[in-house]
Amino acid sequence: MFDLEKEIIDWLRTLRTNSGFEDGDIIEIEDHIRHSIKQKLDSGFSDQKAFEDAIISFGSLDQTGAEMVKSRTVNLNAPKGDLLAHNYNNSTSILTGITIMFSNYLKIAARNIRKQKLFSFINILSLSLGLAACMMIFVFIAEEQSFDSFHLNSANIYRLNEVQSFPGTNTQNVALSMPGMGPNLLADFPEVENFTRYWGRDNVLFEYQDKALIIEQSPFVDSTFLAIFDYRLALGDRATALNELNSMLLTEETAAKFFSSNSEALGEQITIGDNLYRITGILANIPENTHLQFDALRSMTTITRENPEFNNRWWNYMVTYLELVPGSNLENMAEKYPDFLLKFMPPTEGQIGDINDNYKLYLQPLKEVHLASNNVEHDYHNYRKFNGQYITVFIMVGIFILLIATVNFMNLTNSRAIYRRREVGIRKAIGALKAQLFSQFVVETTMMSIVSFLLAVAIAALFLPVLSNLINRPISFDYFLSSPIILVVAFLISLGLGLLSGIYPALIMSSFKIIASLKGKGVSGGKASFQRVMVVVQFGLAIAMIISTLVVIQQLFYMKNKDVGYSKDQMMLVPMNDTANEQFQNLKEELKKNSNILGVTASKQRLGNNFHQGGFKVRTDTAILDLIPSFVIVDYDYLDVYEIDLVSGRSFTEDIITDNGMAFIINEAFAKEIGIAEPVGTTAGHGWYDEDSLGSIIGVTKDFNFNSLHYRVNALFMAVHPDWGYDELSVKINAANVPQAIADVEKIWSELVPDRPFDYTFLDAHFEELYRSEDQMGKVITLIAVLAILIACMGLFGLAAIAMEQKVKEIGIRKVLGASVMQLVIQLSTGFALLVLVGFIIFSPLTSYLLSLWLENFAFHISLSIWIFIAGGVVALLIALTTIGFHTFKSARSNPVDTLRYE
Amino acid sequence: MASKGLMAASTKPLILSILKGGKNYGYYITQKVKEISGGSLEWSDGMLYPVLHRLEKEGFIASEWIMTTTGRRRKYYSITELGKEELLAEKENWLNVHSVFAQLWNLKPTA
Repeated sequence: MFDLEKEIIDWLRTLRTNSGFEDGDIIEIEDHIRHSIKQKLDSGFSDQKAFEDAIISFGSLDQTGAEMVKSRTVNLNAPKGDLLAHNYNNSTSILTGITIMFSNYLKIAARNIRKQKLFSFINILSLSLGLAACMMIFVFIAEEQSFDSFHLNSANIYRLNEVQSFPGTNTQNVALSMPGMGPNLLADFPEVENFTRYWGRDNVLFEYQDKALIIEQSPFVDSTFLAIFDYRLALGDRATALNELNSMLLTEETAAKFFSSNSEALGEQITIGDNLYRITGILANIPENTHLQFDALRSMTTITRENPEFNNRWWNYMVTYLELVPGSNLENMAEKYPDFLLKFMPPTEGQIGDINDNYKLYLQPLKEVHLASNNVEHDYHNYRKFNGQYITVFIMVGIFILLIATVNFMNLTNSRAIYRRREVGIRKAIGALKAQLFSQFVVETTMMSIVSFLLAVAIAALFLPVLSNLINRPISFDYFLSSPIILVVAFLISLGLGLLSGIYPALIMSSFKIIASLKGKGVSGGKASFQRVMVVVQFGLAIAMIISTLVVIQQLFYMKNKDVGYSKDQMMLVPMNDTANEQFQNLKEELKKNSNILGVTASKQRLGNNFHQGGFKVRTDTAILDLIPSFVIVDYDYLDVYEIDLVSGRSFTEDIITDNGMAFIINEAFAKEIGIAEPVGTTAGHGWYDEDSLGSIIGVTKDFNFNSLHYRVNALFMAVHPDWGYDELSVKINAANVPQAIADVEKIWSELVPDRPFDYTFLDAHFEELYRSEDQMGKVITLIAVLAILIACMGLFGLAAIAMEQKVKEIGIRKVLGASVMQLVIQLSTGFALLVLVGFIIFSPLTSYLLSLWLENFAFHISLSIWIFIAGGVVALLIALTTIGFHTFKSARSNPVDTLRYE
Repeated sequence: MASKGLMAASTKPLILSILKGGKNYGYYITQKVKEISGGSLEWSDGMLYPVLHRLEKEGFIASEWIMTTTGRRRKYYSITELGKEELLAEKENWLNVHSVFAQLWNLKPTA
């Protein structure tokens, strides 16, 4: 049966593939041909005859198309007369010719994109998701790397660190230095141009008139601080602001807590303890991207004017920054450090070895403080410290994503080429050059990549706030707007990507053989195997990401839930001042009366970091061992409240008088270090105790992770010295009644410690801080893995659609011969499943290697289990099969009558 | 059947002459050409369109889209002032040529 309407539409479709006809022409010609047919029908022709006659009298499409092109290149200056003749003789018309050719490419490209909606949608969306992910990763990295770059002289600023290797302790890098180091390095080293010390002061009470507030960070710094660092000053003279004793600078935020304006604050005096500090300037608020975060700065002169000997103190408790003469040789300096240390800390009588056995100095470039301090302990002033290795991970992940998206793009474009072989054949037949076909296809892919780029910008703008929220980082799209060059680069990258990923398919298509392509025959097997390789790469990468995500999440879960050897939940920490220490016993008794409070204890240091190290003497059968393990001063019931288990011996008790200062509890690591089988009862004491008046070891605890899980458990001893005072009160509260418990603690605190506003944190919050780097990486990796698999699936979805269409006949025949739907689905899926499997096999070893490298960052880590890999592979396979399932089921269920009829 | 060259040369005055009778659309123009030439000047229909477009570009005719009763858009062409002048010039040329051949072949003068 002749379907007139279908024939007309088919004929118009052929018209569309001819680049000579523009959209308007096609409408005009459709009108013509319908008119013509109608006329013939009216005079009694059959549908078929009318159609055929109309087509014949319309004439050759190619010829008309060619004339159409010429008519658009009319040269108005050409001699009149021969209308059909055209003139390419002068350069302007060649130029017009090229412009027209190009705009024609664009038109055809737009038409093709519109015509193949699903394919174009998948292609554009997957590329833009990939690009958007890369942009977001880029903003994240850029923000991390911007740390401390606003200091103009940052290239010459260094932080003075030490490598400490004490007997009985793990060797450690520390961000600590001694008060005497700065001034004496300046005096002895010509390379040192300037120094500033930074002596952190946490949670200090500031009082002004009737206002009393705890200010988080108000360090003492040298007067040179503002000469070395470029923190902006809103008010005051940066050259002199910190010169005088009792001078202080407030940030605008801090000032606003006490004063109604900056200028009002200037010259006012704030009481801290027994001192009055004069406000000599107002600092602009400290930017987010700097490792030093403070609310006020106090002049170091306040200390050194009254105690000049401070500048010659040689023990560690502050951070020192040096500004070097540009071009200084760090290695030369390093050679001189041993003599320097020896000069100021000569060996004491009878000392074996010297200071250089325990200390090495090294300079850490300012730019590395934020991203390369992961191996640095006692690093108390390093805001948002981040593991720089993760930056590399992110870059790799970004490249992966881009790779997956690019592969998709190429693969889909490529597969789609099959559908256009007839078009290519016709074009070639009417004389298109290979180069022209090539540029036509490249223009098409480039156009898609540009659209993808625009979409990517929109996606990034939309999702950056979400991401910023998720990982708790102030990253925003503003970054792009403030440096549009980045956008330009991103655009060029996507343009290049479009070109590149268009080139291969373009080459393939433009090299189709005319006859074969007109006959609708497929192309050589080379292309299909390329496609398969690409699917393998894509799924290999996606599987790698899934496995990595699983491992990272598992490790994070492990770290958060590992039994660290003490109870860290519902442990409330309250900083203590002098009054709190004086009132400690009352405070403790009152708190313990409350039913919401399960235990109260105190210590000089908080769990979660490495503790300070101190000298310790142990008497063995043969000699006295001098060791420098970690130590912490605790209250009598510390072990009970924190539920730390003893392996042997007993805990501290108030009932035994010598437990005050003469009893020591060590951990298993320490016991192993001193090599005494039964350490309980061994004579021991602080390093500065006289050998004749040592106390004894009364107990050994199980090793508990007082430091973060990145580190092995160091040797540790604990002692009780009630008269030394504690820094922090630990209150274990009832989980069922947290708000009430907090209110109760506050009430009791305010009664007994009226001079210090109540302030608290929870220990588990502190732990979250410790693993923030990992946590953020985990979230980003998860997000990216989801994206990767999503993009890979979009590609697979497209490929499956194409593969199924190609197999329409095969499926029909199989059905006719009796294949069941299930058999067909399995048959159709096997090929894809194999590709995913190959991807899994190829990429698993690499993934396993990279992951084990990562896990080495943690002294305590999970072991890589084969099951995680299998799980990753199975997940990917299931997702892949589900994705193609839509197509396989559809094809398998299709009626063979329909599929076979089309021949 | 006229030679290709002659046909090409004659399309312009032909189209302009038809359009001088009022604005019209492509299919009508092809039919008109066939009608008046009695088939002796038959082009393939399609070839009309490039010529129309070219004439439009040169400013001799103008076009507009008009919605037909069937809901399809149809492109109508009409002659411009410039086109009318051009037609006069063409007419003169062709008449000149005509009179030359008329003399040569001893035809009776037309006027």
